[in-house]
Amino acid sequence: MAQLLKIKNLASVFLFVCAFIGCKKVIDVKLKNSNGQIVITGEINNRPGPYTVTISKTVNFTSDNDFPRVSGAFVTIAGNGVTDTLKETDPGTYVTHTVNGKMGETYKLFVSVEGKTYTSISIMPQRVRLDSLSFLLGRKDALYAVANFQDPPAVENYYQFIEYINGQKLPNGRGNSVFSDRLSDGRYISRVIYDDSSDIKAGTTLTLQMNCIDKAVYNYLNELQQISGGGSGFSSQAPANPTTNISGGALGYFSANTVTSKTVNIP
Amino acid sequence: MKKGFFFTVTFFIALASFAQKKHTISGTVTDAKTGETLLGANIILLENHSMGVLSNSYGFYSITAPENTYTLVASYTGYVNDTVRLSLIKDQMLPLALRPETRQLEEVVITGRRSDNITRTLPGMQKVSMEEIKNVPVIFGEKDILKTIQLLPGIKSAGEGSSGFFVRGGSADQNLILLDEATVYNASHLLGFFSTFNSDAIKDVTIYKGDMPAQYGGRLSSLLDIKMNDGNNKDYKVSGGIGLISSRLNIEGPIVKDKGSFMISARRTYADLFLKLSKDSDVNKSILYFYDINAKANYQFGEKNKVFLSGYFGKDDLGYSNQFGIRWGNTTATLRWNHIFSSKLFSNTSFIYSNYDYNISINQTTNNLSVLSKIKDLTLKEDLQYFAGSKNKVNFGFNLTHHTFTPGEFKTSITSSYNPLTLQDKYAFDGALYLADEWRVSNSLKFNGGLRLSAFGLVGPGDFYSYDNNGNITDTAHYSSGKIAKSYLNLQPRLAATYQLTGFSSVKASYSRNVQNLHLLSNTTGSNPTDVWIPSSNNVKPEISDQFSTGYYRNTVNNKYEFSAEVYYKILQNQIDYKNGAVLVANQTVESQLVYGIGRAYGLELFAKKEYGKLTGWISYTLSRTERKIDGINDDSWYPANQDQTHNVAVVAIYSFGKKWTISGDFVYSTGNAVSWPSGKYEVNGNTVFYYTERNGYRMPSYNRMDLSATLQSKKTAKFEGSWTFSVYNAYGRENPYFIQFQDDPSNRQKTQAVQYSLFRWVPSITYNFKF
Repeated sequence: MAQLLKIKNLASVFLFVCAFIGCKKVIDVKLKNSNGQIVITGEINNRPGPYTVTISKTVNFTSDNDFPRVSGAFVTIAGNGVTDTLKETDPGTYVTHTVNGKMGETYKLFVSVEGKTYTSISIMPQRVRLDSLSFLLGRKDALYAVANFQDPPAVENYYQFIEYINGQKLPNGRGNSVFSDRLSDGRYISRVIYDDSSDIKAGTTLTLQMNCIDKAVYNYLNELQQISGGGSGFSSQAPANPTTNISGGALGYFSANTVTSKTVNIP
Repeated sequence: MKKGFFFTVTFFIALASFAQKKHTISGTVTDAKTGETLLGANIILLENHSMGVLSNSYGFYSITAPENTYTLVASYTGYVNDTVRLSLIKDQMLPLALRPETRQLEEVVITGRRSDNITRTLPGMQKVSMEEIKNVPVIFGEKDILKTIQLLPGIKSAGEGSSGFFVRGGSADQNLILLDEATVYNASHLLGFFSTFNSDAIKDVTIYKGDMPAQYGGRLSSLLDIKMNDGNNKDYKVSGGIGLISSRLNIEGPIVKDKGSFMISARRTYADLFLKLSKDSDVNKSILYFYDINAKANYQFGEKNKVFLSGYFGKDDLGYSNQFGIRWGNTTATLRWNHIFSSKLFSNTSFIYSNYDYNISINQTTNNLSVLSKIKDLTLKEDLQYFAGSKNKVNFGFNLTHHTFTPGEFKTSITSSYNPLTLQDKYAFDGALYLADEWRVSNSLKFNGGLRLSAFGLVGPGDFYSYDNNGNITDTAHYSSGKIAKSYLNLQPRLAATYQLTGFSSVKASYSRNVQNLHLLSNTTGSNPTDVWIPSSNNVKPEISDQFSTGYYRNTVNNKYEFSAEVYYKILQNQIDYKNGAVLVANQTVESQLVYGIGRAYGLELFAKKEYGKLTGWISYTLSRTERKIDGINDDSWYPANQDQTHNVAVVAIYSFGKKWTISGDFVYSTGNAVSWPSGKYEVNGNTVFYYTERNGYRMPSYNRMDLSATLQSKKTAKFEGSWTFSVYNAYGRENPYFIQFQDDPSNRQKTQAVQYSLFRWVPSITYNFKF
């Protein structure tokens, strides 16, 4: 609902009325440099493993998008009665081999790298199944994916949606959204995924993946989405680093979530 | 020879003053042609300049002087002085009717007139005349009070196309906007492109930048006091304008000649008519319009009583196809009774109703949702002015407001993905008692001292929550109807002094404390119609500001040029900001999302104005800083507020070519406001994410714009006047930054870039104005 009421949606809908809209142009901004910060992302889910944790670093804005991977870290994931020490298969990519993702279990991540330690806890929620994937016809024959599912009543549920077109994620962070049942508890949900849907065309295959995530991961991904909208000026919120569920001063997040998905071929 | 006359008269007055018997002259100052009362008209006794007053907001004045003969001169900008010889041997009522001047093109030396800006006791106060507002070009050719005041020093715009403004570093909700004493909660139409004030219906606009008279309060940074026209009580008049985007019509006239009059002014856009021409079925079903109506009637009962009834009704309607719609509007109604108790005691009693609401409806396959939110006020005010003797003017009185807040009623259909929700209504009493005295200590020194005692009470029925640091509810207290859940008592001193160095220059100093008990929660710095007002509570303390200011004012000998330099320093307490990822929409526990801290703002404002002649206009420059220090933000250290802009320049010029043409233009320049930009980047799930360090550590690129307009008086007879106005907003089409987006370069995925979006380039418009 907050997404629907966001003023930027209103403004963009009515900008088409303004006959003399200005344009957009790339500008040169002098941004400060910063020291490389550790970024940890990891996910364990209810599908069979192995599961991956990646460790990388931040770079300066003007650098190439080659985010350096951090090797030689000590990484463990403990849960479901097992403590698994992850093996580094590629630089910065650490993979499990014994731990299993099970609904309702608590998983603890421990990372020791470059003399510092980082920990995180995530609880895998019970799975909510995606019933079906339908479509909403928008302006100019645009298609939006719609996720249909029943929200369990009397439980706080948080959902993450990821779209894949022909097996690939959408570029520029599109196709990612989150949803909380704060205002929808117990309802049958038809959630329209509003994203630049110009990629959903006839002849393509759309896969919609729905993850059930815990509250801390929802907060992280929600704030991440808000800063991905970009924008700075009087009409937008002041951006800040998303609140991570990793303690110790790292960026990124660790999530124990369930996964369900539906695939549809668009005729 | 004049000197000798002066000397002789003074000598006789000195003799006469031994007699010590004083009498009072009082009355109302009006426009001789229309009967409109004139606020702030200057009335002096030539023989003794210290016996001078300004007429009050209802045009009433009162002067007490020792028994003698005097020459009374009444003056007001744009009018010919009225000179009356009178013999003061008893109290007398002397109504004054001033004739409007035809274009003042020559220097006019006015005997004994001082310019108001030198003598006014409150610094940081500015008046803009309706003539100036009519001549300053504004976007879409609309005359706009809110956009024009943003050209004055110390007042900054909240962004392109926004009617929100910031005064001396304060936020957009810290401005008290009054229309005939009724509070206007959202002063903009169409997301901010137009203000809710139709300048055809307005008589007077005064802005107080923090130092407001003790009878006003409730917002920290400014008071924008707007008075509507009463209506011509001698003749029926119709005027209006037809423009590209909107049209207006104004009808006024007497109810009973010279005793009562009415005024109705209406305005509507028709941008939606253009939408209907579209072939796209979504577009031609869309709605985009606003309208507003200002109406007023007044009647004089006998010599001592006058009753006014005024109202404002405005509505905006935006709808996209039949999928989404938002409607919002203000409604205000004021009933006032002026009563003249005696030649020295004037009273005004007001009953005011104010309502602001918005309604959103969303229809989207199975997701139907409608939202209603509103705020309703009922106010009773009593203001008394006692013109005690010749040296003191005492204002005292009280006001009491009952607020009802409906933060949100969410209705959904059975198939909707959302549950219906009704946020609890909130109720509050907001009252104040005040006492102020304007004391003329001597010919050159004036003090203005006041005290305002405000009492705010949040009352039941309702549940009131307490929270821990993580935002969890730790306690729920229930209060039944009328029981006080939380109250705040605040004393607000208001002190100001004016010392006249010469007849044309003065210095002023002031200190005032303001308290604000209504807070606007908004995720953005500018204002949106869907922002939520909340009252002070057990969690939210009243915001407090303490402002010190001082200034030097100087006019040239003929009052042709006016200069001022003012410096201010403001300390703010209990300022509100939001936690990361704060949920402000549809949240019963919204107070758990707030964080608090302090602020400070300081600056220098320079202003130079040419008052009359063929060329008139002004230049304003502001150098300022405004900062906040909020718990939990920026590591608890000071950071520039979003609205901090270091330099602000505005130049306005209006030139009359003969009798037919007037050209005007304005130029604005400002350095960028403070923004949070990334200082690095990283990757999450295959996407580039930007890394932020300090809050508001960067500045937007600077902004500059010039607007031009030309008005041609095409026809002018005694019965009919017509004119054409051509204007262009952003005359050189600069792409001014509206917002900056950081993203991967679409042509080179290895790089990231900053993209600047602009809103308006050239926006021309044509309006035809008529009057008969």
